[in-house]
Amino acid sequence: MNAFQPLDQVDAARVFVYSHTADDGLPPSSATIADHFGCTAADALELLKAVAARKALTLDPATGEIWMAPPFSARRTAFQVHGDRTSWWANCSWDMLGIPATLGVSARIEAHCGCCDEPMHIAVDAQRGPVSGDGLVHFLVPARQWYRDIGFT
Amino acid sequence: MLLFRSEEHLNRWLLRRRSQRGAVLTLDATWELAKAWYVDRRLPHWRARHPAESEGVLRALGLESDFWAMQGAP
Repeated sequence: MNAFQPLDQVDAARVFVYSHTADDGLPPSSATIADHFGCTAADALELLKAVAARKALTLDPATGEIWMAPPFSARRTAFQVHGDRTSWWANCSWDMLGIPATLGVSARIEAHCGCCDEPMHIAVDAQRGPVSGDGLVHFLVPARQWYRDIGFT
Repeated sequence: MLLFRSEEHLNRWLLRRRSQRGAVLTLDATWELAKAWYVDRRLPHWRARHPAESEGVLRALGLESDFWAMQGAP
C-alpha cells in the first residue's frame, strides 16, 4: 500500500490506540476514543469493532472495550513491562518481549513462573534483547490454532 | 504462552495439568520472534498478515516443524 495514502478512520483509530497505549500504559477506553475523534461513545465502540475486524484488536465480549491490543493487554496479567516512564501489561510471555520490541525501548519485566508463581525478573536491552534473567517460553497451542481462542492461547 | 523458570518447572506444570508439551523457546529466541512479529504493528498502514505470511515469518526464524504451521489440517 502507498505509504502516502491518507489513513481511513479505522486505521487512524488503530494508530491512536497504539499511540495512547504506548504513552499511557493502558489501551484507551471508548470514552477516550470518543473524546479524541469528537464522536459519541457508541460510535467509538463501533470504530473499535471495525479495528477488531481487521484483526488488530481483541475486544472484551461483555463491554466491547479493548481487551488486547497485541502485544499490550488492558487487563492485569502475570507479565508487567516497565519502561523508563511507563509500565504496560503484556498478554503472555511472548508479548512481554513484544512490548519492548514494538516500542524500541529497553525494559524491566516482572513476570511469574507458570508452575509455582514465583516472581521472575528479566532485563531487556532495546538493541540486544534479554540481557539478564532466565526462563523458558512454552507454547501450548499449535500455531494453526492460535486464533481459535486467543484468550486461551 | 507461559513462562517457566526451568524445564523442571515446565514438566511439573504439564504433569499437573495432564497437558502435552507444546514448543519451547529460550528468551533469546522469543525475542527474535517478538521483533519479527511486532515490527510493524504500530505503523499507519499495517495489515494483518495472511496465514501464509505469518508462517513465512516463523519459518525465517527456523520454526519449521508442524507445530508452527499456520495452514492446512493438523
